[in-house]
Amino acid sequence: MNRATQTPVLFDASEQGAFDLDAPPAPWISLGWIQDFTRKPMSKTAPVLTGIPAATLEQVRETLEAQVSLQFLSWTKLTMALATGSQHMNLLASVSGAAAAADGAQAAAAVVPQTGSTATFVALASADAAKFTAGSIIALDVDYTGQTGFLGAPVAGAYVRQALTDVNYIRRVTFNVALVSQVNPTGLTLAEPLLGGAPAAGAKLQAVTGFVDREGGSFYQEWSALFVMQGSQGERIFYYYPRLQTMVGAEEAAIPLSGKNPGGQSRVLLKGQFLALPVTDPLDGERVMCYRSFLPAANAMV
Amino acid sequence: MPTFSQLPNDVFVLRWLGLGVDMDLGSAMTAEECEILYQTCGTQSFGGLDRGRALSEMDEELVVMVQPFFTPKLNYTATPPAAMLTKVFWDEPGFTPIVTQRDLLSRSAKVMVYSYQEQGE
Repeated sequence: MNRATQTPVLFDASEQGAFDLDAPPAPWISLGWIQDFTRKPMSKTAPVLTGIPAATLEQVRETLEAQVSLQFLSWTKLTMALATGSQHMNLLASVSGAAAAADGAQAAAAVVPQTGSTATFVALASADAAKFTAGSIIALDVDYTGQTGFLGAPVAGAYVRQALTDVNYIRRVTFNVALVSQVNPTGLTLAEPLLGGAPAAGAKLQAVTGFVDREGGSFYQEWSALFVMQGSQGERIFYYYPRLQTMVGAEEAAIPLSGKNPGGQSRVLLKGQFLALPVTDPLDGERVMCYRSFLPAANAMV
Repeated sequence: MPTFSQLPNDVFVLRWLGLGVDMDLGSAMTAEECEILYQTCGTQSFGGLDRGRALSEMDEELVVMVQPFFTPKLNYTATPPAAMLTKVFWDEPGFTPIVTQRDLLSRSAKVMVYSYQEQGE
């Protein structure tokens, strides 16, 4: 979802419906399995009454509203961000001895990617590459130089109303993060491609130690979302929400890994509750919030 | 591998029971239940009268052995064993009541052991 232009990501089940669920078509990103997916239609309808005694002549929609709730099985940067009701940030690796701060102390200086970098390889000077290790996480984005509005590319991670002073602010909020799988003197090989592709001009790199979000704040996450249910015969049901905003604060649910031992190891799930916002369908100008598509199994009666 | 008509005394014997796989994650997670059996007659020097203390020591030893509740996952097909990327982890043990059979005291504990499947496994 491009927040600045209010442009959702499109999904066309007729063209893209057969995609590999582990490798969705760009720019969609797989967030893995979810559970307890629940849709709640909240639109209100009202009857148009006529006659004596009054009887319903027509129905009209008074309000459009729909909610979706689910639980993410895995904690990642993206699932955590989607499930939180507010801004989600990267904990940048700090300089030694920096004063503590709840959302990350003063960050160690960023390094500059060299030419030849791609979405999965960041070319670095050998002295810079030596600062990273395999298994570390990196954030790659431009310096903050007083910009306001939605920040972060290609996904907006924050909305800034007044200019700030932290030069690393965009790298704190960026979704352009990845795991380093290999380090060699010429640069870093990434285990997953950067969302933003090859580093943009002016982009810099910093190590990330983890992630943090806050209860409160004024920022609302908004994403285009696609949920897929696949049947045993290959049939698929798609729920495409062009605009989905988080509507509650961060919440978790713990479930035991073993039903035999409820007091044993547990899995902590990220609970998400979302409000679907409407878009205008260019086909006929109708305002809608969700497209449900069904692709039947081969040879199934329709 | 030797087989025993009767379990040996004063050692821990492990048996691996049911296996479960959770494939709804980025990496499949497997769970296998480990049954740990142990028994003792105590020592000859005390005529077996210390068998209660001996079993209690084995209980404590087991509790110490399972802590912390994780260990690095190693690939023992390599020499020396190669460290893998994840950890093996487990629940707290669930102990059964003591069973008395003549001069023998025995007990078992069950521990659910979990592991993530890594690439190449």
